[in-house]
Amino acid sequence: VTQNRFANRREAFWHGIRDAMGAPVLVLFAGMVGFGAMGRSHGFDAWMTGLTSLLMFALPGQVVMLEMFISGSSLLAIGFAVTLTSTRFVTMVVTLFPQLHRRDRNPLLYLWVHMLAMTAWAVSMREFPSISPKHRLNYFIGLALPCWLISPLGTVLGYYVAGWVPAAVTLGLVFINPLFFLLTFTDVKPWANRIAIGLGCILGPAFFMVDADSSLLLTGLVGGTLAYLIDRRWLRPRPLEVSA
Amino acid sequence: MNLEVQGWGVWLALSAACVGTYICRAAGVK
Repeated sequence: VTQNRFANRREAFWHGIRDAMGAPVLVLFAGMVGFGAMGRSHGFDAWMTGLTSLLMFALPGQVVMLEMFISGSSLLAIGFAVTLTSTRFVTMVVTLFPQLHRRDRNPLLYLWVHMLAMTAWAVSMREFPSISPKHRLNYFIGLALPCWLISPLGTVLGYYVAGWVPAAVTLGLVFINPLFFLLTFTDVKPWANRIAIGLGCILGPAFFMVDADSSLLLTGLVGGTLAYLIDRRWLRPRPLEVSA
Repeated sequence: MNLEVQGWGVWLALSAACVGTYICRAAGVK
């Protein structure tokens, strides 16, 4: 509706920064503090722990790497397992980047894509429809850049405060990020999202009791597919010609 | 396992993890 929400690209960028400076940055910071504490308790050094946040910037993959390295897994197994946890990025990129202006869809995206994480993705998915396509990339960069830069800082801080705070608290911090994602995602209009989250709450514990190892994967696959089908069959408005 | 071996191993693990994560992100771009 508000096709010209920003006067120019610079304004879009700064608005992205401003949007990042509230909950998204705090949430990521908290999660990374938790991860930093975890890195210390697993015996990694501060550089190593901080660099995983800067270079990987994917909390579940970072946790998997730490755990597998400690348990003595082979390099190939670690690389493969971490890659598997990161496959979510493929779906995130293919749903977010086509919304950018054609002019912005150039090889530079291979640089910006590193800053994509669920926080910035969820907020962008919510905000993009009200932003003109030519301003979207700048908004995204403004949003994602502080989130990325705050992560190694949070990690190193968490590493050094690990001894002061009970382990249960620092570990709990890791889960603030998914919680924020959940709340942002519920805010997005399509009903499929809310149904998927609801089904996840029911199916998750159920599948966990059947087989803990595959429960997360099964919950996502079954719950997500069901939500999509329900939305497509009954809830989605009849398709109209989509204007480009 | 001495400390040096462990040191190299962990950096290699980090590299493998970084490459894997980046590939997943980049795969969606085109």
